[in-house]
Amino acid sequence: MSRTKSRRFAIIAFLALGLGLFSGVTVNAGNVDPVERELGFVAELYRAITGYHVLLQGDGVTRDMVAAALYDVERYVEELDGRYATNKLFIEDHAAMEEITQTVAKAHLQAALLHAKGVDLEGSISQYEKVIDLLGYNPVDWEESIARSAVPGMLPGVSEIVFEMASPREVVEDLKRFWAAGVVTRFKVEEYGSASRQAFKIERIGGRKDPFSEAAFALASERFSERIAEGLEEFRVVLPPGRYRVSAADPTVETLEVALSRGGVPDPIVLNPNTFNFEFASPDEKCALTMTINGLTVKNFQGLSYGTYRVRSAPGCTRRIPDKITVEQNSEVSLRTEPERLDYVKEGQPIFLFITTPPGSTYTLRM
Amino acid sequence: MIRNRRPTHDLARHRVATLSLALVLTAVGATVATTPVQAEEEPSAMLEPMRLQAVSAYNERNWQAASEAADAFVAALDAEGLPHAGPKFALVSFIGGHARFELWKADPGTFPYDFDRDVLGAMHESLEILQDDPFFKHNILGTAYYEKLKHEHYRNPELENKANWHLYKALLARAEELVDAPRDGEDFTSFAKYVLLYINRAFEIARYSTVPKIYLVRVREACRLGFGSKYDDRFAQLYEVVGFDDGNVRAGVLWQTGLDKMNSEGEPEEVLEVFSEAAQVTRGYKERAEIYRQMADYSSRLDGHGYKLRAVEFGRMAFKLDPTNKDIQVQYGTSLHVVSYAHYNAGRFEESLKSAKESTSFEWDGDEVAYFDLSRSEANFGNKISALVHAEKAYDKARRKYTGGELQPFFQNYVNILRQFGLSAKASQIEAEFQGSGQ
Repeated sequence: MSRTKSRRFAIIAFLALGLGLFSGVTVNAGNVDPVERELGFVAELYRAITGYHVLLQGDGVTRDMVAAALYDVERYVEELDGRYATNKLFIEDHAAMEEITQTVAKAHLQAALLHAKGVDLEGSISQYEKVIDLLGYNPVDWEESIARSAVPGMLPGVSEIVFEMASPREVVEDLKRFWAAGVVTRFKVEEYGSASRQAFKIERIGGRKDPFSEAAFALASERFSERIAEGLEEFRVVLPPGRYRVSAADPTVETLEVALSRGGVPDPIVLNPNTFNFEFASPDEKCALTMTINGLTVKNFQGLSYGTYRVRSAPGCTRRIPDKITVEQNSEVSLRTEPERLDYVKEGQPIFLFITTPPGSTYTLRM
Repeated sequence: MIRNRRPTHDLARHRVATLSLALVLTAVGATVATTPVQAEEEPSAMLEPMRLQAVSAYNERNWQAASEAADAFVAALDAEGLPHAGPKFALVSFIGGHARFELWKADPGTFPYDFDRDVLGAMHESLEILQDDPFFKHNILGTAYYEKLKHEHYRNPELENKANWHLYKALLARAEELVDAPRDGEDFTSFAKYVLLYINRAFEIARYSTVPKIYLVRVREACRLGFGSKYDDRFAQLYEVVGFDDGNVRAGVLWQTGLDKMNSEGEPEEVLEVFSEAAQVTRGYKERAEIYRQMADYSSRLDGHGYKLRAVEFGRMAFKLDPTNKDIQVQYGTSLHVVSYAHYNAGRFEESLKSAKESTSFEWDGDEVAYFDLSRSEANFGNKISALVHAEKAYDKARRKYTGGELQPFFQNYVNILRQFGLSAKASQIEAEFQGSGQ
């Protein structure tokens, strides 16, 4: 098939078709080559995955429905992954193996799309990464036809399903639109003890209240809790844009607020009970700095959270200042930032500083 | 040994499944037989009798002993600092998980183990290592999830998804094994029965699920596995019924469950209860009317005056929802006729008249009997003109459809009413015409 052609057409699956297809396969099964048969099994598993589109279409799709549909889809994809791994060992026919690879990749692309529709953006991204792994290239250049959505047809009793087909490029565009509604957010929690971490909770305290955002947050909140419970010290969660608060009933836990913007790439959010202070040594008032951390402006330079600060200087400032300063907790101060230290960075390139400082200390910024 | 034993638990009831397990056990046993004898202090030598004991107890379906032997095996493994690895461990782990499941099933109240860890966890741990005989093993695992779900009144989505997947995965595995088998052969027919069992369970789950619509896909996928078998018609019916009421799967499942219970001569009250539930959850008025029509039909065929009255009630509800449906009109009208007739014969003339009036308030194919009922009830109360008009109408309608013995009651009723009201000459004229027409 030509990759430039539009492949938007509908497939109508009738009950009769199902009957015919299966009877046909069976009648001839005895003469079928094992590789051909394997191709048939793989194709059937892929076909089954596409059946779930009709459940995630339209209004009234509940969280339980999403969870059930995605559970099945993930199992089918695992099944295909298992077959793919085994087939690689035993199938010597390169063309057949290539066909299996493509089908498994298509299954992952379907899974990416279905996860995105089910507002599991993180799951969607993971599935998409597997597509790239399998194909070895960006699927936008892939010559294939993919079921993009499905709705019940005109016949009563949902006895027909109409699929909308699309090119991988179009499907990837769909995915990007879904993904834009989520922000991949990394959390680092290693400075808290296990007991304190278990009490962490994340709340959404601002942002759009549309069903997509709310469902995406509900799922992200579950994932956040799961990863905390797993004891991970660093993990990622895909959150919809908005404002969040991470807190705990435990009084030793510092409440932290975060603002995530659509399309943004946030710095890792560091949850740490300790703080430090910034002091500015520069006498040059033209170069007064504005800092933000976790998407929020820093108003007071005492009792600061560890993490990454984004820095801007006043418009008239001619001195070179870092774009980002990442501050990590350590018993020793690792770098004292002075203007001359920045000279090695070429003009026009961003400057990232990494410094360490002990809890309760005051770090002097000489810039 | 296993081959001659009659299995007692649900899943092992099937010969193929039992044989499959026998093959597993035999294969491992054969490996052991060729293994050189170990020194007594060797951990493997110490473990071997425990493993054999677990296998032997399992084969004898002594779940308690099998479970204890599996416990002892794992405890000994742990005491020796040996890993939970290898096919022997996996086999014992599966035996332990399955045996404990049977113990739980027999008496959940006294179950001394942790179901998640010691039943499900043990089987999963086994399947990570030993993936032979997937039909049997996933069937057992799926059944364990299913029974636990049932125990929790079908209110656990996680158990529901896992039960479904493992039961379905078992079918997928078996379908693959039978890909060359003739579809009308014994093996495939047995397999098709398993598919039907899966669908029965899926229906049961869908009835209470928070997401019944997922079974539109799940059940149809299973039906596809069964197509081409001896039960093709049944699979086609089940494939279709989940799409009932525009894919309202819960309504479809209840509708089919009611029909199945009715056809298998289930308890009438239970049948009607399932139908009622189906009607309540149905969204389309035509579909709901069809369920009420079926309830009317079913009730009308049951013995007892109470059921005849309920047939009228169900027919009335169906008619209100879909008054232009010919089948519903006939069912509703016929139910009223039966009741009117019964009241009349019992001397409850007022009730008979009331039902007869209702049954002539709309046109339906067969309403000549309704006019028959109406005329004689009216005649009983001396309502001469109406009785005559309706007796004539009944006779006229019947003449267009019947001859001979079928027409006779309508003719006789008309003549009787004519004579009752002193119209003997007219009655004689009708009699002459009737006889002259060769009736």
